[in-house]
Amino acid sequence: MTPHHTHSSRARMLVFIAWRNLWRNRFRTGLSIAAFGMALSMMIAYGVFIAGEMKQMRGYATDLVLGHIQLHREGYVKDQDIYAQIPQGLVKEVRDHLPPGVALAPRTYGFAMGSLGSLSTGVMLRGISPEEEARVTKIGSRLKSGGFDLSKPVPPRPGAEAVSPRIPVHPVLIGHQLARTLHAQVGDTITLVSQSLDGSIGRGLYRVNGVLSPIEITLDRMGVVMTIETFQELMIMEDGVHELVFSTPDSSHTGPLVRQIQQQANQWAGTHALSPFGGQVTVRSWETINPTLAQTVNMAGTITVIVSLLFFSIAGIGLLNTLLMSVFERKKEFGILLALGMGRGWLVAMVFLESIFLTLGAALPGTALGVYWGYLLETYGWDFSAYLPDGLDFMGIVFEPVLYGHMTLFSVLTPLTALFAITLLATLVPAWRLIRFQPVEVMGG
Amino acid sequence: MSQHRKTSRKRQALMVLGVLGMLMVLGFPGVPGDRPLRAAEGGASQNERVKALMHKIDRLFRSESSHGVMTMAVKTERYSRTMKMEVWSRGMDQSLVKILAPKKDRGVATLKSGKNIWMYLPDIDKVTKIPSSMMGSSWMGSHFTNDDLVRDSSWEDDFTGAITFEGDRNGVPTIEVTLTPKPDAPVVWGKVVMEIHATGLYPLRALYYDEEMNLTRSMMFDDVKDVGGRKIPARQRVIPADKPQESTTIVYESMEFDQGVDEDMFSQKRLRGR
Repeated sequence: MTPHHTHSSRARMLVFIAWRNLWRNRFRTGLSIAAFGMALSMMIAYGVFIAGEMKQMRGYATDLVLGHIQLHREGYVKDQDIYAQIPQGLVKEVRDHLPPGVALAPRTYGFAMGSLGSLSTGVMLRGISPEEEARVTKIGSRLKSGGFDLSKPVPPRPGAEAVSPRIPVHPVLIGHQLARTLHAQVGDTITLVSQSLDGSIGRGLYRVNGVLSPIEITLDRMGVVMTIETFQELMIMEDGVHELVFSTPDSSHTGPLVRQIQQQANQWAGTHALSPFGGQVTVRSWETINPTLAQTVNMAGTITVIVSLLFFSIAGIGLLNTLLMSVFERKKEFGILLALGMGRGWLVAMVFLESIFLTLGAALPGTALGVYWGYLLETYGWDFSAYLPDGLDFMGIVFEPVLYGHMTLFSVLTPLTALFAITLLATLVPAWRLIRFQPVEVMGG
Repeated sequence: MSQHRKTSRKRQALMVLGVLGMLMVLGFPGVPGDRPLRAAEGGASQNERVKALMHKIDRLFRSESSHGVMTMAVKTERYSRTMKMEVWSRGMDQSLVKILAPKKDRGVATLKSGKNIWMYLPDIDKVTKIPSSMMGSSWMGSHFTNDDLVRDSSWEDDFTGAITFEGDRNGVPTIEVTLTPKPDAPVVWGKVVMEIHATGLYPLRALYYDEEMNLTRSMMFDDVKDVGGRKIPARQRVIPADKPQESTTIVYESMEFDQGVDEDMFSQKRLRGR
C-alpha cells in the first residue's frame, strides 16, 4: 500500500462515512436542510426583489425624469432663475456635435397661475420639444388619459366651459394631481396667467390634451407641459431654454460624456458671450443631480450582501447547535477512531464534509426554489397597489406600486456564497472541539 | 423648482401705506383734517400725541370713495416698465385697478373685494381668482404682493408707537415714530420706523423691519402737492432692502375723493362686462 493509495481510499471512505453519518438522524438532517433551503430561497428572492426595485428606481429616474446627463446655467441650478437661460447658439452647437447614440432634449421651466372655472392654483410650466423629448425620456408613454400629441388642441369636451372661437387655444398636458385640484379633464380649457420675463402679464387659454400619470411629485401636483414655442409665447422668452437633458446608451459610464459636453460648452462660452444673468454652464450626471437616489440604487448590492450575512448568521447559530450535538453524540465513536490511529485531521475533514453535504443538500433545492420565486417576481411583479394606490414617492420621484424583480447572477450567487461561508465558519467550532478530544477520556465518558 | 423666487417670499411679509390707502380706501366719513392732532398737541402724554399723529396718517390717503389715475414704474435688475392705471375704491374693502397702458396689458383689471382678488383678462375673456397660495407673489411684476393689496391694518389701532427723534433732519423738520405691532394685530413685521414732516404731517419715509428686525424695505414719499383737494405726497417709492437698485414708484396723476363710486363697479359681472 503506497501512502497515496492509502490517502485516496481513506478519502473515499471518509466521504462515504460522512454521507452516511448525515443520515443517521434523518429527522434532524431533514429539518436542517429544509430550514437552510428555505432561508436560501428567500434570500435569493429577496436579492432579486431588491435588484429589481433598484433597477426600476434607476430606470424611472433616468428614463422618465432626469435623463442621464443635464446641462444648465449655474443660476438655474441654484435659484431656478428663469433668466438663467442656455442660449440657442449653444443648444445648436451641442446638438450638432452629439456622439452617436446620444440623444438630447431641451426644456424650459416657469411658474404661472392656472385656473378652470372658479378654481385656481399655482402651476409649474415645463416647455418641451415633443420629438426630442421622446428620444430621451418615456414621459410620452405615461399618460393617464388623453394623448401625448402637442401639435394641436383636442376638441373641447362636451359640456366644458365654452371658449370663444376667435381666441387661440394651445395644447398642454397636466399632472394628475393638478387635474384633480382644478377638476380638469381631457378636453377642458384652462387659463394660465404668469409674470412674463419682461414684467408684463402673460396669459392664454390652454386645452388639456392629456393627463400625466404620477412621475415626479412637482410635475404631478402642479405640472403643465407644453411645447417650448407655446412656453416662449406665454412667458415672452425670446431665445434659449433652461435645461438640456441627454440620454446615452452607456448609462453606467457617464463621466467621459459629461466632461466632453462640459468642454464643448466652455469652448462655446469662450467665443460667444453668455447673457449677464445665470452664471457659467454646468453639466452634471443624474447621480450628481439626485445623489440620494443614486446612492440608494448603488447600495442595492451592499444591502443584499449585508442582509444575507445577517440572515445566515442567525441560521448559522442553528447549524452550529446541530453540528455540536452530532459531534458530542459521537464522542465515543471518535474516541475509537482516534484510538485505532485515525488522524485528527481526517476527523476534522469528516465533520467539514458532513456540513458541506448538509449545505449542498440545502443549496440545490433552495437555489431552485429561489430562482423560481425570482422568476415569478421578475415576470409578474409584486403588486402593492392595494396599499399604495398612487405609487411610492421617494426623492421627488413617484414609483409605480407594482415592483418587479431583476434576476442577476449576483442576486443568486451572493446568498449562496454567504450560506457556504457561514456554514463553514459554524463548523470551525465543533472541529476545534474535536481536535482537543482525548481518546481515553471520551471513550470513558 | 417648486417655489417662487425667494424675493417674492420676502415681499409677502410687507404692506405699503400709500398704495393701500389708495387702493382700499377706508370708509371713514369725510376727513376731519388736522383736528385730532391739535387736540393731542395740547395733551401732555407722548402716547396721546403719537396716537393723534397716526390717526392723521391713517386718514391721509383714505376716503369713502376715490377715483383717479396713477402710474406705476417698476425697475428691476431684469426689466423696467411703466404702467398707467385707473383706480376706483369704495369703502375699505373694495377696489378696482384697470391698466390703461402699455397697450399689451390694456384692460387687464384687478378687483379686490374683501380678502379676495380677481383678475380680468380682456383678450381671453377670463376672470380668474388669485389662489391663496399665490398671495405672496408679485402684483403686476411690481415690488408689491397680492397680499399687500388685501392686508388692511391701521397705524392707530394696530400699533403702539414712540417718538424716537424730533428736530431737523437733512434740513427738514422731522418727527420720527417707531411703531411696534400690538400682539394680535394682523401685521407681519417686527417694527416700522416712520419719519413724518413735523409741520406738513405727511410721511417722508417708512422703514419696514421683519420679525428678526432686519430691514426688508423702505418707502419714500415726496412731491407733496394738491391731489384731489388734499395735500399729500404724490410720489411714493418702495425699495426692497436686499436689492437696493430695484424699485417700484407710484405717482398720482389725478385723484378725486368722496365723489361717490357706484357699488356695482366692484362686481365680477361688471369686471367682465367692462
